[in-house]
Amino acid sequence: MAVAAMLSLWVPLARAAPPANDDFANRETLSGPLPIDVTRSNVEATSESGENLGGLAPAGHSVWFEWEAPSTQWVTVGACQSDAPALVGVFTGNAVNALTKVAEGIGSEGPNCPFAGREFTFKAQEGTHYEIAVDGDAYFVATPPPATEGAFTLRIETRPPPANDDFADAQLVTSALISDPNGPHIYRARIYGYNWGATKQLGEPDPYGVSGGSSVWYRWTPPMSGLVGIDACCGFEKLITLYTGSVLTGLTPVASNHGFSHT
Amino acid sequence: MTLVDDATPYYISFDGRRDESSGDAPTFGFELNILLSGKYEPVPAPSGPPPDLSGPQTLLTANAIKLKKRQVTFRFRASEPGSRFRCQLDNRPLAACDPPKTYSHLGYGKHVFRVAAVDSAGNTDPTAAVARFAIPKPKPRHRSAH
Repeated sequence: MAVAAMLSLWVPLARAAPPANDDFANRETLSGPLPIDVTRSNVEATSESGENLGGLAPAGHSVWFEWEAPSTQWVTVGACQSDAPALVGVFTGNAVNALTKVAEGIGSEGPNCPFAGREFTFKAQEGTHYEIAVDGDAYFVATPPPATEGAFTLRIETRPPPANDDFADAQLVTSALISDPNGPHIYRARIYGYNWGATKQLGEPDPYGVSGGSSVWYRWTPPMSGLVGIDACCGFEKLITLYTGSVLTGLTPVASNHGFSHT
Repeated sequence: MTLVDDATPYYISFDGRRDESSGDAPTFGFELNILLSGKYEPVPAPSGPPPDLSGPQTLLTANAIKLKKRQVTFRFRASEPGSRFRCQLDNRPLAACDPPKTYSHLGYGKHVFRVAAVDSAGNTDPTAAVARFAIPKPKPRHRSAH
């Protein structure tokens, strides 16, 4: 019995077969009404020659999907729910070594994921085939590093236009006191938002001569007089403007991050 | 940083700066942060007279005892108009009372009466007025022998 037990230690562990959609050529087609949710795994998946998921740190355990947009609309594609930190890439193209990335970087990250690279929002064009890769995220310096293989849920969902696209629908913002009530007062407001699918209204001003085109609106009444700083994370070429006034065509810019006075 | 006034409504637009060549405005998911700082301004004291925090004085002005009825009556007043009163006889519970206050059928012996005024602000006289008195037992009558 002792000999048999020792021998069994030398038997190599069984390895799971790579997922059927390990290679780009065998990518799984996703279809049907949105949202689409599929739970898959990238355990034992590999990367292919010429595969380039982007500037982050793919772990080399990618699997592939394809989705054809049934209509032109803003969508969010993500794998936020995963056993291991996941990376998502959305591309167009027909060959794994000749893909064009559709959405990447800060600013296209979706509203649901706290980590970069797991979710992207973009305007899908009707009839376009989108190639979607899910890989493990190796961008970690922890020792030992977290796993890069496991189950994940890939989700494709529509992203409706922001409710505060129009000036008349400006979202009310309230500030909370964050300092000692007996000391200098500091109020803060933090709002998550997006301007995907937002539009420019007729008569909307171009503050300090700078044009936008996808504005969303907020309404805020300071709880006290003081100095205010307004910023938004993240993304470049953002245009934030503070106005007084009550009608869209009669607004007076007070400050802007692209104007003479900076917020 | 920009100076803003309280109670003034402001509007904030978040937009993408339009690219002159393509005509497109970039879009973002973002977290908008508004940070407002100001100097400490203590809450001003309410206008008007200072609050009344002192109790009234209670004055016993007269008392009358009718020994035959074992009855006693006290008259009293307060230094502040509109005051109410609370009275206590011996160890009985304090009770609201009005002048004149009469007690009848008292027991023989010594008694203590206390009265304290309570002003309209709810302040009670901390030194109640006190009256000590006694209802003496009647002396027995001696009959003369004939």
